[in-house]
Amino acid sequence: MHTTPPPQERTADRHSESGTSEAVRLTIPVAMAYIPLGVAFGVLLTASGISWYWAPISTLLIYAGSIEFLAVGFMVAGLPLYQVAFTSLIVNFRHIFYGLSFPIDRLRGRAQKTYGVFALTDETYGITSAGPGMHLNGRQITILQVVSHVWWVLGAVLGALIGQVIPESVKGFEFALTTMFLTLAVNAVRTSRSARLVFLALGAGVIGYFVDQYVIEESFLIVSLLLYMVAISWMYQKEKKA
Amino acid sequence: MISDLHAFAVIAVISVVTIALRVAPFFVLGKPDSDSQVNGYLRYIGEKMPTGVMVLLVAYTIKDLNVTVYPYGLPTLVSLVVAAVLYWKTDNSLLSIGGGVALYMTLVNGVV
Repeated sequence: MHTTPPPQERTADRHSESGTSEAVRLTIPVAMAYIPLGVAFGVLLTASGISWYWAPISTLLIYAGSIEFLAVGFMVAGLPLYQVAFTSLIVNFRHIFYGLSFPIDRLRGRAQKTYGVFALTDETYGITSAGPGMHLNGRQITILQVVSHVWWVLGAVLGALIGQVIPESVKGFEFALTTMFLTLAVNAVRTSRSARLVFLALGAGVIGYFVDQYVIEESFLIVSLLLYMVAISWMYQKEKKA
Repeated sequence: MISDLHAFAVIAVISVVTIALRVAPFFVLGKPDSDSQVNGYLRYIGEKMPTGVMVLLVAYTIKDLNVTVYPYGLPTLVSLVVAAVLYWKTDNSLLSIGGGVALYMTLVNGVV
């Protein structure tokens, strides 16, 4: 009886084909950000004296941008692991909100759901939960996340290889870190429109600097970030009472 | 050379913390419309945190700059201002990061 597949199945097939290309197409802007950043990360890593194979390992296991750059600095400084943990918690804190609106119910099965949450970067979250990919089905979401992840790893490996042929006497790659955080800071200030937060951060930074230089070595981040957290928690208390 | 063990430990710790943060809302936080006290506080912190964190991260990357000896931290400060102005005017992060790094590397490798 059924010599030809039922019509709805054929439509589904056609859909899934164009579905794949649509998901891949949505990763183009992601690639434009991830590949150069990945290259910068790879160059920084090998130029800092870290073996090239940590570039793919790191980008596979940590699928997040800025903290990955910091990881290079942490390795070079030999930062204690509790400080690494604390700093990652603060720097990546925003990710705690992404799951609330991520369409996880479209993902099927444990493996797909787990990867979906693991791969919830700023960009894949933005596209699937608030951007041009809001209508994607589960399969497309996974394709988008995997392909973006591939761009990130490829960029880092490419950068690590480039970094190996750059002579050791050339200095200054670490400045990419400073400028990257600078652009993120400009974005954050534009969003919050608050000079008070900038002053609070600078105050926390000055105290953190003196503790770091004269009391506990390499304690800048944990001291200044904690002070800043205390300051904004206090602001919250005050605003709630008002 | 950095030891492989410490490199792996740093990567593993960051990976676990990042995963924990991304998984947390499915267990800890309630629905977005529920208005519990914890949710209110976390949302407030989440809103106010990025500005301070990013400013402090910029500071962290230049904290060991020595401004008392030649070249008095000038390559860093000049490149930082140029990168900031580039970003503010063009909104193009690649141009700003690339331009800032190119200027900085020219200054530290070729000029001073």
